[in-house]
Amino acid sequence: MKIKKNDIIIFILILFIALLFFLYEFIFKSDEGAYVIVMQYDEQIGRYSLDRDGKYPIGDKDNAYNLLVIKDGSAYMEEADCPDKLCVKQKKIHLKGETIVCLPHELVIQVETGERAEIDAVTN
Amino acid sequence: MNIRKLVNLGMLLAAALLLGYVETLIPVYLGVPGAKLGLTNLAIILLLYMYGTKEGLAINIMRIFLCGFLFGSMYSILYSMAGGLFSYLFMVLGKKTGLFSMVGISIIGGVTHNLGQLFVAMVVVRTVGLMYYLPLLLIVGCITGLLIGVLGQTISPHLNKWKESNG
Repeated sequence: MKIKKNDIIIFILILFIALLFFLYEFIFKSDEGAYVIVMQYDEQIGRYSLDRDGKYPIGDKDNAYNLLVIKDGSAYMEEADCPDKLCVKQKKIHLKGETIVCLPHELVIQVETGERAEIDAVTN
Repeated sequence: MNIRKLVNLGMLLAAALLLGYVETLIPVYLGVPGAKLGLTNLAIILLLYMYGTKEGLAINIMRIFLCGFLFGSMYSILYSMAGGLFSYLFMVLGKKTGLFSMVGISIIGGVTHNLGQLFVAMVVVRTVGLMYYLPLLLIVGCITGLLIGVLGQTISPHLNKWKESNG
């Protein structure tokens, strides 16, 4: 088994870099989120407080359909009619910076902190 | 190109497709679309060491399209291509420096594959927030790269013997 010293060096180096990024996120950014913003086709189409449970459909069944659910302070995708449904299989998000992405529908749900605002109007 | 080499390349491509299928059986739901285990890299890296840069590139591109058509969608081809070409570039460059063994090159390949996919995902949805997943992707890429590299080094001498007897 020929393992060179450089292999070990780069392995440790990469893990170290990963650790640095992780610490940065952890120290500076790991807050409980206050709300999620919904971006589709590069536009913000909604902002929902994580404090309030609710089901928020995006799109409709003839086009691109996603169902965002907020429950007990977390957000997740309950349904989607995209081909791979990766967004549905994502775990629930609630920390600042976490995202759920539905790529075929160019949809991003992202957790943000800030003023614990009331639900804004949804611009559709 | 003689016919034996053609057959060998075909068999390695088939191996890559098989590995691609196995990958679909082990889903990875990380928050970044298209994140994969990188098992197919085993066939690619073995090919790279057995034959060379051009052959590896040709088979890599072919397996990206074939795996995409067989097991994925148009989107998965996009990610696979980004990750696969990006990582192939770095594997070739890394190999040229002569500083690493197959294990090190595989680690580089695994990590850059995930990085490539992450960057494409960030561009497509225009969300820098996806960087949140960078540490996890680095770690996963590193570990799978290590495992694939060790596996590759174990297999490689046997493959070379087979190549000598076959052409």
